[in-house]
This record gives sequence, C-alpha cells and structure tokens, in this order.
Amino acid sequence: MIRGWFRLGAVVMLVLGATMTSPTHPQDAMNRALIQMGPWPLFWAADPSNRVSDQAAAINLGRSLFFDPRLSLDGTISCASCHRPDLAWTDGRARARGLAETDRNTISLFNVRSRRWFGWDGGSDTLWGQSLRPILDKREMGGSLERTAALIREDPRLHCQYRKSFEHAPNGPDETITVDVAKALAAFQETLVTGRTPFDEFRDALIGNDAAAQAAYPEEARRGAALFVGRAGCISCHFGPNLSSMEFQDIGIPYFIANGDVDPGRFAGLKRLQATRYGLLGPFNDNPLVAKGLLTAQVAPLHRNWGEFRVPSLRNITRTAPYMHDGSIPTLRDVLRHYSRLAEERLHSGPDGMLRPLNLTDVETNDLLAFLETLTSQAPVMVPRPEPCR
Amino acid sequence: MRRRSHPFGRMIRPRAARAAALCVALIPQATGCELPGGVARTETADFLVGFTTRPPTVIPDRIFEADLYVCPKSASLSVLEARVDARMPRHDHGMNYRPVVEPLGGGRFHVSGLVFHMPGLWEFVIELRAADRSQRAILPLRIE
Repeated sequence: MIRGWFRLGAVVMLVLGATMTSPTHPQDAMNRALIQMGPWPLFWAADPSNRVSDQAAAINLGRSLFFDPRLSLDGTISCASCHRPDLAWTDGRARARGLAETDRNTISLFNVRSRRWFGWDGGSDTLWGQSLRPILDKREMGGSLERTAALIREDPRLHCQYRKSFEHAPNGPDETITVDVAKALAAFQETLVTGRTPFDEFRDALIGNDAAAQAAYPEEARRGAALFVGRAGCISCHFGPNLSSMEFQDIGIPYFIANGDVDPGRFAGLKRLQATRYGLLGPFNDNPLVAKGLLTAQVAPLHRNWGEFRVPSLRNITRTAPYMHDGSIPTLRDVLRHYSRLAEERLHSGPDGMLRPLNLTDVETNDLLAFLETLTSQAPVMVPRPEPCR
Repeated sequence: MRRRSHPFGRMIRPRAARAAALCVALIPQATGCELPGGVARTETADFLVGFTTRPPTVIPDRIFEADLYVCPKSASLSVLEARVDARMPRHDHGMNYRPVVEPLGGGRFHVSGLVFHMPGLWEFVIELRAADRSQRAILPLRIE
C-alpha cells in the first residue's frame, strides 16, 4: 500500500494554478477567446529607441519625407509609391515594384507601430530600422546615405523641419542624418492606425453583456467567429487585439522566386537582424537601457525558419489584397481555399500537428468571410498636409 | 489501514491519508532546503523542483520571466546548472527564443526572455545537471 502511494507520488505534476483548465461552457470559451481580440484602440507607448517617436515635429517631417521621391536614386520613387494611402497603405500589386520588381508583397502600414518585428522576414526589430531599408535597397528606392543627408541639408523646408524635430541643424555625418530621417519616417508611420470595427463593437457588447448590441452583429459573422476560434483554429496564430502573433509561420506557400532562387523568409531575416547596425543592439538605439533588445539577442535561428514569413494582422484585411508574402493569393476566398485544401507535404518542415486541411464547406467559407469583413474599419484614410515650417 | 470492500478496491482512501502520503513524498529530508509556497511543484529522481512565472498569468506572445527553485533530495547533491526550455507537445515545436537562466545561488534560478508565441498547451522542460547526472522535469502550462 505504501509503495503504491509512493508510486503515485513519485512524479507529481501540478499545473500552475492561474492557468489550470476547468470544465467550461463552449459558449463561454468562445466568448473569452473573442474578448481577447481587443481592446481597440490598443494602448501604445512611444518607442524608446526612437527619441522623436510620438513627437509632432518629427511626425511632420516624416510626413513630408514619406511622399518625397527625391529620396530615391532617380527621383521617381517615394515610400508612398508602394504604401499608398488610398490602398490601405499597400499598392494592390502581387509584388512590390520600386525601381525594379521585388520578390514580396507590400505590407500595409496600418498598425505597424504594434509590431515586434518588421518586414515579411522580421529582418528589423525597429520601425526606424525597417524604414531605412527600402531607401537603401537598390530594387526599391536605390538611395544612399549621402543622397539622403544632402537632401535634408539643402532643401530649406526639410532643413527647417529637421531642426525643429531634432533641435539642431543637420550638420552631423551622413549616416546619422539618414538614421534621423528614418526615425522621422517611423514617427509618421506610428500615426497610421485603423479605426474601430463592427467586431470591436460586438466584442464590447460581449463584455458589457449587452444582448441588443450583440444581436446587431451579423449571424453569419458570429458563426464565422465560432469557426475562427474553434474548429478552423485560426486563433492559433491570429490572436490578440491585432489578430496576429508577432511571429512567423510556414503555411505551405512556395518560397521559390525568379531564376530558381528561393526566399528563405525568416531564416534570412534573422541573419540580417543580427548583422545590422540599425537596430536595438546597434549604436543608434536612443535608449538602450529601456529598449534592451532582449529578444533580438535571444532569438534562436532554427531549421524551421526556412519558409516562415510573418503572421499578418487581420485588421482591415479585406482592404489589403492580394495576400501572402509573395502576393500569390488574389482574394480572401482564395486564402480560405488554400487552408481548406492545405497540402501538408508542402510545409517546409513537415506537418507540425497544427496546420491541417480544414475541408471547409461553402457555408463555412462564407461565414468566415463574413467574420473577416467585420474586422475592417470603414473610417476613411486621411493624411493631413505637412505644416509649414518657420 | 483496513481496506474497504468496494468495486474500486485499493483506489479508495481517506483524504487525510492521501494528503499525508503526498506530504511524505515531498518533504525534503536532511537537506535544509525547502521549496517556497505558492509555486508549481514537480520532482525528478534526485531533486524537488518549484517553478513560478512572472506575471502569474502568461499571456500569448508577451515576454515573461520565471523563478526556478531546486532542492536536492540528498545533502550530498547540488545542482550545478539548470536549463529551461519549452515546447508545444501537440504542435511539436518549441519557443522562438533562447531564454537566459541566471543562477542566484542556493538552488535558485531566474529565467528571462520566455515567450509563448501562441495559445494552447505548452510544457516547460527543465534540465538539471549535477556533478555526475542530468535529469529532466516537465511542467505543463495551458495558456489562452
């Protein structure tokens, strides 16, 4: 008898108390999952690595620069060439085209300030670092440190805006001025936030137990939401207020690009992240005591990072077609078809037990689409004109 | 203790006797080491293991930390090194980050840089190394 009790007690495993699962009504579990997709708007604090984050003068400078094609080699490509305000800060193309066509789809800049990693491969850990990359990329804007710095020094309006943003004239080295330009661009992009959506209203109605407001949410969207957090398992990667983890996933999209090359995705992004000067671990972090770059230092390159690309947010997803890192899927219905017929053998690291063909019915597909529709804000995109500088 | 006559036989025990048996299994003997209260507990062949997260409730995709407590069952043993990792057993993948384990002395360790990047069932995998042996403890944790 005593031996039996010691066998029982030999390995005692207790789940941490705060997270012990307990029997719960399915509706409660679903509502709990939906409530965690908020609140919206999300609380946000200025980026400590960027000393002009959330500063009005820098936002003004960033707005001017965002639409200025003189940052590019031939004076024809601005940030707005690919990140168009009338197309939800994308360009509507499968693959972005600057001075030349690239290999990846243009990511919407909506809510970009909430990200942890930037770019499809997470090759930047700061928004200002990411803002600098396309300026210097030869296929995108083809600019340079020298060209950017000269523009700031020589253009009277930009010179004035720089001085107001950074409280000194642009007299420093070209690299320093160009990084400051990137920080001003980041400050502007931090203002690009989506508005509230019908789903946010429904979520608040769940919290407030407002039956009337809940009833205003379309029934097919409610069924779609149940699928989203239930059988379809979308919530495994698309969770939280942004409906996105901050991480990366392989979902079986081919990673072959032109000329037989491959796009390594996160694997290459990690290499770039660990080599760059323009990040949290580099010399241009304005507050390394606060913005420590802990995760940048601890991120672990793994075999499965090949073919992994960032999990995008689903907010305003109906406005950012086409989809996937290479823009290969034209519509959301096609996205659902991809997941419905998922070929597990195409997952680059093999089946992971999480992704499996969903085999959605037509009704289920329509319900999921109805739910995704409610994640879109109808608020118009308005870009104020830059303020004059004196 | 007299066995009761019941279809489930020896599975039926008074609650007090069960509690006493568990206490006997967990109380450290002659080491002067005790796990603090309020921590999740497990054990290996030679160690008692306590673990708690900061914050107590782990949120998906948020960085969190943990405190690890290790008590040897024998006074002749001491843990030299601890490693902490985690994985999702049903998805067969681990974390995207390598946590840092800092020894604090007295069998205490601080773990930083933990991120569970999706909701679901995770397992902490705790590797303990003594002079001539390594042992592993597992602690499950489901997050929503």
